[in-house]
Amino acid sequence: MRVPLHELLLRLAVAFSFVYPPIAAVADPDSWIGYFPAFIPASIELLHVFGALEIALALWIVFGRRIFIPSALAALLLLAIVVVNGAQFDVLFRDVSIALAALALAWLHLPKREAL
Amino acid sequence: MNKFIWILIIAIVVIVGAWFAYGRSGQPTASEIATTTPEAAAPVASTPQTVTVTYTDQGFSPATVNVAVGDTVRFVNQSTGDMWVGADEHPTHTSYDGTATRDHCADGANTNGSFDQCTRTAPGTAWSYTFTKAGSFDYHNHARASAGGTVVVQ
Repeated sequence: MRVPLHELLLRLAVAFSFVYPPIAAVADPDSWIGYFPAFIPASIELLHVFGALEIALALWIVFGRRIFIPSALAALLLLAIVVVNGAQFDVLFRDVSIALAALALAWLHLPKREAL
Repeated sequence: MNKFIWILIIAIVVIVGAWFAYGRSGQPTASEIATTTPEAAAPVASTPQTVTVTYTDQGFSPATVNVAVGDTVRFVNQSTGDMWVGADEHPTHTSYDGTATRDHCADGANTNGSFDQCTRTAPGTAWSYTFTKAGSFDYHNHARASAGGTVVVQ
């Protein structure tokens, strides 16, 4: 698989935002568990399970072929985090930018486009 | 192309709408701002007061309290989850005095008097903090960052 440099950078940019939190959460789970929405009974175990899913998503985005699904999921996830933690927007505003980057990736790999 | 752009626009509108409706629920409305100014009318220094803020599953109430320097705010956890009161921003808690959690918390205890509980406590517990300087201090629950409030110290 040959990925153009600009797309590879885009993939790495989005993937990094999903790799760093689960790694940091191993040493300091309390700093990350607070981002779960109130309706989810958050726990350290759930945090790490979610972290494993984040890493899987990141690997799919970096190494996958048809990455419309993980890119769209990444965008939705990031925007959902911003929405449910609106009070912390001063920190989370960056997630909007990363979500838009993920949407760009999704657009590049829109199923109809890839079929052409 | 056009379809994708329309979906994107609709998604952005929905997200922005949801953010204003739900995400900013940690911000106080005018009716939520408490008028707890125990020493506002006192012409001379009076004895320090204690103001209680209740934390439930709906967040902190009242969302904003007004106190005087030397007053204590008591945060009572009546929610079903843990509570860890800390100054904004999440997760570093630097806005009160510039020091971060890793600087002013050690083994679950506060080491320099910063506005930070430094540990999570179970439902049914309470934590008190005495404000020794004036200012407007935003805070949140470190265990649930979407819940927050403001203490105005005059």
